[in-house]
Amino acid sequence: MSPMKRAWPCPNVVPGMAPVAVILARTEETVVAVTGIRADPAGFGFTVNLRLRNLRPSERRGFWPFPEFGHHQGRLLPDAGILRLTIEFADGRSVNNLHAPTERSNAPDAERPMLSSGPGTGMEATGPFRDRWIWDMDYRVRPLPPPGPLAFICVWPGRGIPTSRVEVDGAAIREAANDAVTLWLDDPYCSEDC
Amino acid sequence: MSFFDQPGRLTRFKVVHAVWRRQRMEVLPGVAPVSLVLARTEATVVGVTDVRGYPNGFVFLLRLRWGLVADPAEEVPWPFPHWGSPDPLDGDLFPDELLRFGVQFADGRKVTNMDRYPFVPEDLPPDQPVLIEAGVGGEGGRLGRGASWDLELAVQPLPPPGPLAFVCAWPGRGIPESRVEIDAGLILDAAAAAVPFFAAEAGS
Repeated sequence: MSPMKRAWPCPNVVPGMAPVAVILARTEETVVAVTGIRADPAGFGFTVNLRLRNLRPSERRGFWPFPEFGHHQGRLLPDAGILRLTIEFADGRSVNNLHAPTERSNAPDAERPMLSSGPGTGMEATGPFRDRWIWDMDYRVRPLPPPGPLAFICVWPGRGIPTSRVEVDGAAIREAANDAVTLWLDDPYCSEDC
Repeated sequence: MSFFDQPGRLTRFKVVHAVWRRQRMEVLPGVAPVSLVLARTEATVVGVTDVRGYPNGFVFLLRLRWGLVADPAEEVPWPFPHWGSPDPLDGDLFPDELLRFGVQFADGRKVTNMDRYPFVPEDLPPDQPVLIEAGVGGEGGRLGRGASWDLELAVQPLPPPGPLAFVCAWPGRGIPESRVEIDAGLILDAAAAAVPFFAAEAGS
């Protein structure tokens, strides 16, 4: 079945959880954190938590640092404003949000992990928090990482964040995937026969 | 006595405000290794994952799955009550089409979605748990032959040590009262691991 025809992360699975909550990068005004991790036999999902403060009103209008969505409000994102995110497996395979084969790719490449994003959830910052920008973006990676360190790497020049890296245990994610529960043998969520 | 006995009509009430929104802005939660199938029939599953601990409560994802929606044109209605007023049922029974869901602490305190947060009895003790829709709305809908909804919920305050029960019943989907317990210590450990996003805001 083409990956285009599969809902993913698949609703037919209740994922196992590998508890991860780490600060990936932090400045006085910007935090990039990673939480999750939801694992199933096909791959894993995590959330990037962005917390920005001391933004001027002009900065908050239309703020959008995710390049994987291409245009935003009719404009291409400037390079410096982009949050670049890379996932690197212990065997050297990697994928990033600038050049990611996604589940919409027609032919998945076994040598390259796939990355997709969304949905995301923002919060309207009001009152004493009105100088903030808050967004939690879900990402998904296929396949599962091999045992060994799994690295989350980000760089965000526009927010003063140099290349920053944290590693988690790939084996723990694989163990969590073993706890995932497949709900129905005949997957009802496939949009076509499978 | 059922876990989901319908609360009486609210004649004197107050509105409580969750600290959840502010905590989400300020605090990186700890994550608990919890993944549950709370109830399962041939056509319906209720699951719980993504349990995160905060200083004043915990958040989780309620996963609802329909294995088959017979009518391909049928939209699957949102199965959670929306309380827009203290007495929206006007004395009617809680509809069987809606999921009944709640949590119970080890000391017996409990809260369900049949309570009408943010409208609570005027004399509600301050340590009584409240159940809050934590997300901006559910994700999901019809997909293929099935359907799914994911709903983020928050409970405040934190539970005491001991067993913490997740309980549901869904008469309209053939699910009797179903209960799964976890060790509340998993959530307390996650809450203890929570840290402020910005160090300068610690304890603010």
